[in-house]
Amino acid sequence: MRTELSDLLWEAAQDAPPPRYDVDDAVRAGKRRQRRRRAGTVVAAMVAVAVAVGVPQLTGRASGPPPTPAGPTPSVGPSVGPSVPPSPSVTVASKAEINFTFGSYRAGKFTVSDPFRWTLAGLSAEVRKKGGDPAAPEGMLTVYHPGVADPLATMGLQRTTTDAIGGRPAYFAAYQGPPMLVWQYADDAYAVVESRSGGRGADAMSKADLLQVAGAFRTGPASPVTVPFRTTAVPAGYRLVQAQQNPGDVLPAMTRFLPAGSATARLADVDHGPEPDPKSGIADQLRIEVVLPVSGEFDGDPSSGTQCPATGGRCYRWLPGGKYVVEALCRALSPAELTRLVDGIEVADPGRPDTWFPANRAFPAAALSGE
Amino acid sequence: MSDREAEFREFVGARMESLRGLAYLTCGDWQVAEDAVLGALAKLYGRWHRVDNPDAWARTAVVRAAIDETRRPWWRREQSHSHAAMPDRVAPDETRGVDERLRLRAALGRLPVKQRAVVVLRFLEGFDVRQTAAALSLPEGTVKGYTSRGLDALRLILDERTEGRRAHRTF
Repeated sequence: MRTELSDLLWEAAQDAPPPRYDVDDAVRAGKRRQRRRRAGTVVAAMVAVAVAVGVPQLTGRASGPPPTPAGPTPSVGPSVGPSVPPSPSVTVASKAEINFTFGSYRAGKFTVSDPFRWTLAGLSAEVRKKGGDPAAPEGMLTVYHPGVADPLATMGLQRTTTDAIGGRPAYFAAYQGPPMLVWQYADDAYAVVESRSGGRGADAMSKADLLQVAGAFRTGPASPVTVPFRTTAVPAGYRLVQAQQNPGDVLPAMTRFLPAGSATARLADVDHGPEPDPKSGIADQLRIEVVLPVSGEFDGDPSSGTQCPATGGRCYRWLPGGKYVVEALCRALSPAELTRLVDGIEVADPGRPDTWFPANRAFPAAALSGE
Repeated sequence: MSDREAEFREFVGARMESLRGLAYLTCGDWQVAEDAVLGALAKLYGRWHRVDNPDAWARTAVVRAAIDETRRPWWRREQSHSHAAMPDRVAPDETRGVDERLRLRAALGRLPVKQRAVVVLRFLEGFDVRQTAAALSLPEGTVKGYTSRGLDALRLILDERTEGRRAHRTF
């Protein structure tokens, strides 16, 4: 019966109508999904548990000296209990300085990129090796701002203490996946480097590789994060929590704003933060981004003006030249509001990062301070 | 184009049609099936080189996605109006081949979606009980029960088909 039923089932799936999708559609959908993930709308499920972090102390980061390594300190441990709200004694900085505080460096066979993402929580950079998969870095380095507590401390992960790095404590955290190395890189400042799963039981980076990357890390002079657009039309009550740049990528630049009441470092931690709850305030997030569309992804052309697809929650317009699109996405805003927002965005040349604007001056002061 | 994308393209080109059939048999609607396949392949794109067996992964993801699609509120509304959906009654015997196809579609369409998915995975894809249970996140006992009930529901169709063959030979 099994063979006969198999034949029958196969037969029942015949007479299919012409397919609506082809290989290009699948690749396009995959790239779009990957881009959205990289934009931080979805974060790794492995750290979907709550990460309790303090509110970052960002004021003066640009003008002050970078954190300097100090002598040995007590062991790394949880400094904030699970789900503890930010201490009322620690106030949100009146204005976050939006800077990168380290640059690309080599660590053995690996190269750590310049940071490509700034969030209220910290900075992210890719770890790659020569000859690696261009579409998937070997690992990710996240350097948390001073004042942001160890992001993995309250997750209950199995820890294995390892040798000090730069005279400061470090440990490996194990979960259902490749190991992560957490170390203290300065006073009250933590960093995490983690490997990508290599599949077939092999991780892309060994523990020794992670130690090598961590050991070679140094902070450097602050350099401003730049974005290829600016606007004064950010809706009232929204605060910038993320800015990332990938010139040449399908998503050259993206900024993310949250309602100020939700704009904590915890929710801005796209590498290790909790998975956004669609019922929470984070569902109201606003994203402004410049996209290098794949074929057929956006209708219209530069003469079409701002368009808002019927699916809702997003409006966009093609930039002159027809190569890039600037798009705003927010479920909490009406098409009319999103249209005004998109119309009010001034865009530099996405292909020339030297024309981009410092993020510190690209948005209204209230959107930078959350006040 | 990277090697990764070239490999992915080759895989999709070879497997998309059969995945579409698998999704259709699970959900009973070609359009929904195609959306389920596209969604599953989009996920696979991001996991390429991290999945040990892309074929098995894709088949499981497609069936899950097709089940999920049938949970959407609009799906039930669409079912009562869709010409593309599996018929809820056996169609008249116009030509024998078409009739068999419609009979089986009708029989599948009357099964609850997870029961249908179990039958499809076990008898079209050749999954065993353990693999089916893992693919659908069901206890093995439930898979066995669904298999039994699904087969009972389909047996009448198969018996009729057998009888039809006998009758055909008689003539």
